[in-house]
This record gives sequence, structure tokens and C-alpha cells, in this order.
Amino acid sequence: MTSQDPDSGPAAAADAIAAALDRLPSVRRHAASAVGTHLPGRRVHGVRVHEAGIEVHVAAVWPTTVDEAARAVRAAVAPVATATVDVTIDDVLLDDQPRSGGHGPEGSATEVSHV
Amino acid sequence: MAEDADSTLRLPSGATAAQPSPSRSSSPTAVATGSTAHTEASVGASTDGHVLGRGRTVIADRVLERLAVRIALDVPGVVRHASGPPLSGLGDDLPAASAEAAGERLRLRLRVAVRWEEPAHEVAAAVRSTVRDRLGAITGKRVDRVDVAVGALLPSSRITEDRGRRVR
Repeated sequence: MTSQDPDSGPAAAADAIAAALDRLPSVRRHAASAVGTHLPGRRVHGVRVHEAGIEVHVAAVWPTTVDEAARAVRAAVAPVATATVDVTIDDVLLDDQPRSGGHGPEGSATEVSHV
Repeated sequence: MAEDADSTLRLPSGATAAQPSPSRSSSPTAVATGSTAHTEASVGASTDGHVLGRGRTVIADRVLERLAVRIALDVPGVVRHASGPPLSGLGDDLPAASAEAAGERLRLRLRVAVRWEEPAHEVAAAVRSTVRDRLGAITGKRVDRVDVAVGALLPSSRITEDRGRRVR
């Protein structure tokens, strides 16, 4: 971490990644996400950029599979950032309830292996 | 996938009564004894074209649970049912699921409400196989076990059709 130039560094990267994610139909970022990037006056939900890589937390839109969602996220992030992308599917947007879910602190979760 | 997976079906003793889960009957602990060693290829598989900055993929357990509920509702005979005063947070919302995941493997308990006159055991068996297959396909995890309990049998008069909510 060096000086925080507003046009580079984690803040700008988080915004660019968020914009890329928002173009995906298969996932949604949501405000209840456990990770986010705090910028002056706002928070970029669901995206955190750190030295070790990028963390993305999103809800998958039913009936997207987890694998499709993760691939879509990585494909969307790739042009914007080169780091490793850890994807957490922390919610699912079902067809019977338009509200985006997301409840408080995340419970347990397990990793998926890549096939 | 055979229809065997050791699973149990429980009916509440008092027909419609929503039973306060005397679950954990048998001994569900001995995980899939004779299960085929189905080693899901681990990270780094160079087989798929894009090796875009790999990284981990994690699924929250509540996602598994919500998916299981959603899949169960697609099984004919399974209906939604909320017992208890509206908005009170009391009573049960069926279907209800709880997932226990360990690595690539997954165990599920589901409680469902079934339309009266549907053969409950057949509906439960259908829930079991449907959830196992579809949840496995959606999450890429291996569903070792699905316990299905019928938490309520409902006559049509008590079923509130959620019309228009299921977009197919």
C-alpha cells in the first residue's frame, strides 16, 4: 500500500470491478454483503481488493448454477484486474421473491472445488 | 444415481400437526458408507480453457438451504405452508431446509408440507431424489443424504395457492 491516489489503487479497482459485475445477469451485488469497499461517502458492496487478491461476494440469480456464476464473475473481472478472484455466493435470488435477501453476518460456508 | 441413498421418511404422529422436530432419529452420522470414491477434481484443473485468475469459490450454507427449498417446491404435491400467526415469526414455514456441508459433500434435512390425498411417501421420495439431483447439479457438491420429513398434510382448503409467483 502506498499513497492513495484516487484514480488508482484499491478504490478505483473496486469500482471498476463492481461496474463489471453489475453487467452480469446471473449475479447481483447486494447491500447486506459481508464484504465491501468503503469509499468516501459510500460503500462498494460485495467487492474488496487487497494485496492477496480480490474478494467478490454476490447473490446468484436462480437458476444459475454456482459454477456458471463463479465463471461469469471471473470472466467479468479478468479484463479489469489480474489478481486471483475468490468468489463467495452468499445468497440466491429466487424467482418467487423479488427482494434481494442477504441477512446480516454470514453463517457457515463451504468451498467448491473447480471441476 | 440409484434410489437407495440411506434416507428416512418421517410422518408426524398427529396428521396435520406441525411437529417440533424430534429429528435425529437413527444414526445419520456414518456418512455414505459404500459411496463411490468420487473425487471431484480439485483446483487448478487445466482442462477448462479459461484459467482466469483462479481463486476459491465458496457457497454459504443458507444458499444451499434456500435452493433446496426452492427445488422442493417444484415437486408435485409439495405446497407452501406457514403455521402460526402471520408475521409473528412463530410457527413453521414449510418447506424448511437445513444443510450441513463439509467440503464437497452435503447433507440436508428437509421438512415439507404435502397436499392431502397425495401419497406422502411418494412425494417424499420424489423430493429426496429431485433435491439430490438438482441441488447437486446447481452447486457442484455431492449430496450424500437427504432426510425428508413431512411436517404437514394439508387439505386443499388450507392451501393458499401462490399464484403467479412461480415463473417457469
